[in-house]
Amino acid sequence: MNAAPATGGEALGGEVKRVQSYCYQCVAGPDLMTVKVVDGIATEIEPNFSAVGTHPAEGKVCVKAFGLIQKAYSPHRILTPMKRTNPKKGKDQDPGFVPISWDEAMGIVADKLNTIRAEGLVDEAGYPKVAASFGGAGTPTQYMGSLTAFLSAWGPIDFGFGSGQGVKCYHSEHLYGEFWHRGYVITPDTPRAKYIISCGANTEASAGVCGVYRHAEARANGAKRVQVEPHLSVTGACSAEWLPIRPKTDAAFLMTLLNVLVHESPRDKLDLPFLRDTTSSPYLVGPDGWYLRDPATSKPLLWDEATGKAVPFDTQGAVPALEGRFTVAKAITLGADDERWEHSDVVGTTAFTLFVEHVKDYTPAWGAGICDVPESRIRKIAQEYLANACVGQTIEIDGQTMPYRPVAVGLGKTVNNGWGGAECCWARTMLAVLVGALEVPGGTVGTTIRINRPAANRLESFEGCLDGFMDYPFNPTDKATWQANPIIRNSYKMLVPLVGNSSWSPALGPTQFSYMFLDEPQDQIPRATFPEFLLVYRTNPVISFWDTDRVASVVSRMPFVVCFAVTRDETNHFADILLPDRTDLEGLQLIRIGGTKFQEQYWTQQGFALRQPSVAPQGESRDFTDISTELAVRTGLLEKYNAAINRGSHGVPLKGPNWDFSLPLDKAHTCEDIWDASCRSASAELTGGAESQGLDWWKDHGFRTIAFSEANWFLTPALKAKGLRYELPYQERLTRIGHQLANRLKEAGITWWDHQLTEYRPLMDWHDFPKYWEDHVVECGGKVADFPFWVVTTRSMQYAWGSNMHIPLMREVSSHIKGHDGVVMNPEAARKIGVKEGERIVVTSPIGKSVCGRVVLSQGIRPDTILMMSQFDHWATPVAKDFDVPSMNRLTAMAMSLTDATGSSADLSRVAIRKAGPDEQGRRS
Amino acid sequence: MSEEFEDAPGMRHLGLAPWLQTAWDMRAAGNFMGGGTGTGLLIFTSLGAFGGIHSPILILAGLALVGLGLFSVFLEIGRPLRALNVLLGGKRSWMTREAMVAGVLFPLGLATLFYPDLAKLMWIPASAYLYCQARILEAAKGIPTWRSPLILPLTMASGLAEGIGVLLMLAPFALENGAPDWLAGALVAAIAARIFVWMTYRRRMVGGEAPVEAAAVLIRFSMPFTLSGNVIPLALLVGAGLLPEIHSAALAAAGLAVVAGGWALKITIVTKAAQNQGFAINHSPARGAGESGPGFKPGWREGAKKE
Amino acid sequence: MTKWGIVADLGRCVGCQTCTTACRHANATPPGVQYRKVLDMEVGTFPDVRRVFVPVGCMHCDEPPCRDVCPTTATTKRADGMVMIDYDICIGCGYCIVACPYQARYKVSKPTFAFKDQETQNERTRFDERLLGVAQKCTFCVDRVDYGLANGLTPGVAPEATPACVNACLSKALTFGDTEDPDSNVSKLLKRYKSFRMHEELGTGPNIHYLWETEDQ
Repeated sequence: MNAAPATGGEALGGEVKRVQSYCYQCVAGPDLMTVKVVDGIATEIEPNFSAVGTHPAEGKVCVKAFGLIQKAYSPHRILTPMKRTNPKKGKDQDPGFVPISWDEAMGIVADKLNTIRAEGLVDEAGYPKVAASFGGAGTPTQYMGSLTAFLSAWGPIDFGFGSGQGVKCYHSEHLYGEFWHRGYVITPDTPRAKYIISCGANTEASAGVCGVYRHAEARANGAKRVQVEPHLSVTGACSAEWLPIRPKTDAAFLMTLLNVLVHESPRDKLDLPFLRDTTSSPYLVGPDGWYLRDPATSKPLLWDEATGKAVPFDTQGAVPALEGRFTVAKAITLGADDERWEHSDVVGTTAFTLFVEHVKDYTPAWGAGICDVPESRIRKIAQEYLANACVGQTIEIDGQTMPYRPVAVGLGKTVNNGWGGAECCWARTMLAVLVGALEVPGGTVGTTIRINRPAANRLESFEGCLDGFMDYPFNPTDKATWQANPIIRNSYKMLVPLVGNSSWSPALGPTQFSYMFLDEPQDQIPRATFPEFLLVYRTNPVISFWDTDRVASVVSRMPFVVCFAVTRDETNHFADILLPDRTDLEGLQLIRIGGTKFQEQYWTQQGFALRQPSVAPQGESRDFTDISTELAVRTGLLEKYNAAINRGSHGVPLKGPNWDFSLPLDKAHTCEDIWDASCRSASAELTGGAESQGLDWWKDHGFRTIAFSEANWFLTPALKAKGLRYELPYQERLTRIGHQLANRLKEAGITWWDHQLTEYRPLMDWHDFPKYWEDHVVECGGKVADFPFWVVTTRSMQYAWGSNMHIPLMREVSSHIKGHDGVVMNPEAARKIGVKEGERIVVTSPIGKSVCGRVVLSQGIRPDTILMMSQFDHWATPVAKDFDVPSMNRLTAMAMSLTDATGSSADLSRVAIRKAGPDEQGRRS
Repeated sequence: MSEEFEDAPGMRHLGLAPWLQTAWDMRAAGNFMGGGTGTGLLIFTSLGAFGGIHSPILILAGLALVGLGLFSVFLEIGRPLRALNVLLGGKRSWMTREAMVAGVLFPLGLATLFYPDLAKLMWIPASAYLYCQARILEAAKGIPTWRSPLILPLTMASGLAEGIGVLLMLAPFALENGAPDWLAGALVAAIAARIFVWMTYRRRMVGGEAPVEAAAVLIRFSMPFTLSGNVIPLALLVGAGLLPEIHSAALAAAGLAVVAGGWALKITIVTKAAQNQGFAINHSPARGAGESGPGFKPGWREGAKKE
Repeated sequence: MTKWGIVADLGRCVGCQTCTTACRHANATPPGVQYRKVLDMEVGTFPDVRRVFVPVGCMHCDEPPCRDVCPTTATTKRADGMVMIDYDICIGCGYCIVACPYQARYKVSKPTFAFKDQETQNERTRFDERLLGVAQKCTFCVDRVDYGLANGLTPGVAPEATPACVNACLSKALTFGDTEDPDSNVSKLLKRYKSFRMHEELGTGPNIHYLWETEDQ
């Protein structure tokens, strides 16, 4: 009798190997995995069981990793370089791609680049002639081998043509979070957190393997998470409670919580020592709104209760008064652009008192009206938050005694970008500040930094400034150094002081402007020009950005587009050259792992992991490192390129204090040689130079780490060690910068950024943010009443960031999760429209764009809101183009009026809905 | 506002609520049609033998119907070359037992062609076969409309009624004196039994023993079945009694209607009201420090919801 | 005695379908054949609504109706509780499919591939003709369990001896072990949490236990 199960390979007697690798398809990675290979064919993805004690989620990978085998072997893959034969570019034009040799393809690409080099790297308007668009949040870097070294060798490149980054990310959090507490991404200290308020943070879909793992642990420990969002997401499903809030009113909800904490709760329940000693709460603010400062040192003053007088904030032995108004005999205030005022017998009010008065009107009754949720529930959430804060308790982490404050607030996309995002971030951070839960165990903590440096260690990323706060690399707003002309097309450096100028900043700026300004020239800045050369890798902006018809139109007019292509897609439909790189399971690369990384990657280890081929190269696909080297050779940049590799721009510096595996500059090195040297250097780095194992060792072992102290997860001890404070609640620096930017723009005659300047305020307050989107309806010539619904979106864990819509396995399994096959709608809303489950509706946005899709009824959504999950709507990508599921990306506007001061807007629109007619059965009406 | 919205919002619970099984289609239904009618015919032919009736045509017709049923289901199996493995599961499976009984039924039936008295024994394997068929459905625990204990009397009553029906249709050709008089009475009794069991079965299925969708199929089926398959045959039987000139034709018509009703019943139960169990939870879980909640049994009547 | 079972913690499960894909890989099943999958249930009426993710599959019942109806003895129950199918005996009559109240069984008659008619290299490597036209379902990854037992490993603890779905689960919602052993991982969970079993009223004795609340609540 043969009762053996079907096991494939082993049962069939094949030769079985297990190859270690990593999955970094999404920003929540990297996660470690093993690929089972039978007779040279990859057959199964498995967790990396040898990483159980190393990786924060026991070496597991999520559902997306399991799609990689189909990705590698897909019959739809582009397996040779291709050349466009149809010079006309349009959605309706067949590109006429024909296979060409690598030699011909690289020849064409290099000719273009060499022409640009010969004629100048920037055009007459000052914009780089070469632009590059890479997908979500740095993940392409984990797959592009040494291309980063080539890019570094090249010179100016416009990285501002985003595919969603900068606008569909946690944008306000990135900027304000990094400003306030070096938190580019901010999460609860799960699973220590006992009470988590999550405003739309879709942890279970977006926070990756580690996020899912940590929150499951938290639930098992009895943590309570309250999910606040218009629809019941998978994260809401996994939360203790769901509060269906009206879209874009989260700031009002959070400010109401602040009100309950300071106006309805005993003051001594707050963490008063933290407020007094670790924040700017006791700083005295003058009547003109600026800090009262010591005339001699210009340092901000606080009221010393011990001596009964105002003293500089850092006076030893001072006992700062947290609340009150005090008369200061002599003080100065410093305004924008070196304005300076002297004051005598001036009344200074503590920042905290101003804050308390500021939130006085944000009562639960008020918040309930704005947010359309019961007053009693808002109050209860605030009280539970306070009750769980454990103010006064401590915990020992790696031998250090730290405060223990197990309460946190998470913010999701749309809550966290566009108008209202800054206010949400401020209120969330203040909720942490009031109970001392900022950057301490159990509380609200930042994971990593991208604007400040060094990226590898955020605790070492700051020095103090004169005012006693962490310094910050603002883009200058003073008259002498303000960047009056954009350096790239999206003007980030000119318009957004907070975005800084790191390698990430161009793609964080107002990336929609890169597309918008090409057709909507703005007064007083050089007209945006089309880049002569656009390089696209691992991204599909024609699907993943806003107003995707408009993006398609822009991309179709790009003079020369080179796309690295796994399959055909909507962006490479407009390409001139397609290049097949080796996919996730075919390529070779060593990356850094460990430390703290977004989303919830909190490691107690740090080191490196290797991605190595488990699948034989398919077709003529080439490793990215070899492609990069050849580009460097053909453009005459080999020495610079090799030097960049030696510096470590591909991830690992090849030289250390007592080791040197630098590559000779004048020679083109193979992919294996480059990564062998990198492996040797990584081994040396991890052992202080004692060991130097090369590629073969790393292929066998997959990863290697050393300890990373958990104490490094928390910034507050490092801040206090430097005698610094958080600049909260009062925003003097931001206000000053806003004034200065206003002055500069006024001098330049620029008025189109005026509304954005209102975001710079000392204490953030509620504005009718939903109305901004309603006003946009009117701006588009419509009536608000004709667009009675909100459309929102939500992430799909099965697809997010994966560029994997062409993988049938993902489609198959995601169909189990509600919302993957249509437009989610409350039955009450469906009644109004007169549609039933499965019937088709036409959804129209104020910009005149419509999509059509099937109705999926759900009780888990507000009746005034519909949900379009993920980013579908493909028309060129194989497999995905047959999904027949709409995307809100075609509906969402790129508009100056919807762009906030950080350059972002939100995945949100007012829409009209009607039942589709019999002739409207396609995705577009 | 459309009518559909008056009670339920019309939410589908795709993949959660019971859905129509697809493992057994018309080919499987064919086995219950042929097997039920054929064994019914064989049983009454066998009983007729005690009254001196003997007809190889009826025996052959009965065997042919059973045989066609078996051939029909043979077309459905995935590995026809291994069909004889069906005999291995006699310890538990009513399908094996049905096959084993078939192994008696066919030789015995053929033997009656040569030894007519053996026809008096035919009712035994035929009844056993019919019983096995009823138990096959009843043992299918995954289909609520099949696993009902009432499926036993329903299937058997219908098989008997169908058998009489065919007998009445074939009697003018197969029997010199036409159908014996008692047969009409037997048909009335069989129809009465079938309609009584049907009503009870339908009530229980609609009352919560079957998924809503299956119950809806049964409700839609009930009136046409009751009228065409049961009331009209009864009326025809009355007509046959009252009007001698149409006696034979009316009896045959009554038989036809009864058979058609029975076959429609089987097609309906096997291929249309054959929603599976679906999925259910007894409790919604507590998420972390949250509270647990009620259970959920999508696709079933509210009253059947788990507490 | 040993009785293998799975404990599914509904408080932990996030519905991500990683188990579904891991199972598809481990068992090389064709498209749509999911021995393990996770349901997305929505309970209640706005605004009092919950979503529950429920992993389902073969329950390896104590009294498996599939076994009872099987006319060929292809479906059997091992002494350790696992319900197995002998693909060389099964005739593919489909009776077990309608007998299973958990919709856990599949029958595929023709080779089917992810990309329709285009068989990929991995599909070719793993194609198993024995599975055409016969019933198939979750095996509790019996090959792994038996390998573990033969090599002194504890199924449910050592990954080599544990079903692929359990190994892959991100939230540790799934646990595999011996429910008869009072000290096993699953027995400890069943003591600490309240649990139910699906359709228990049908008398099948299913062996997936769903945790829904801690005992002390």
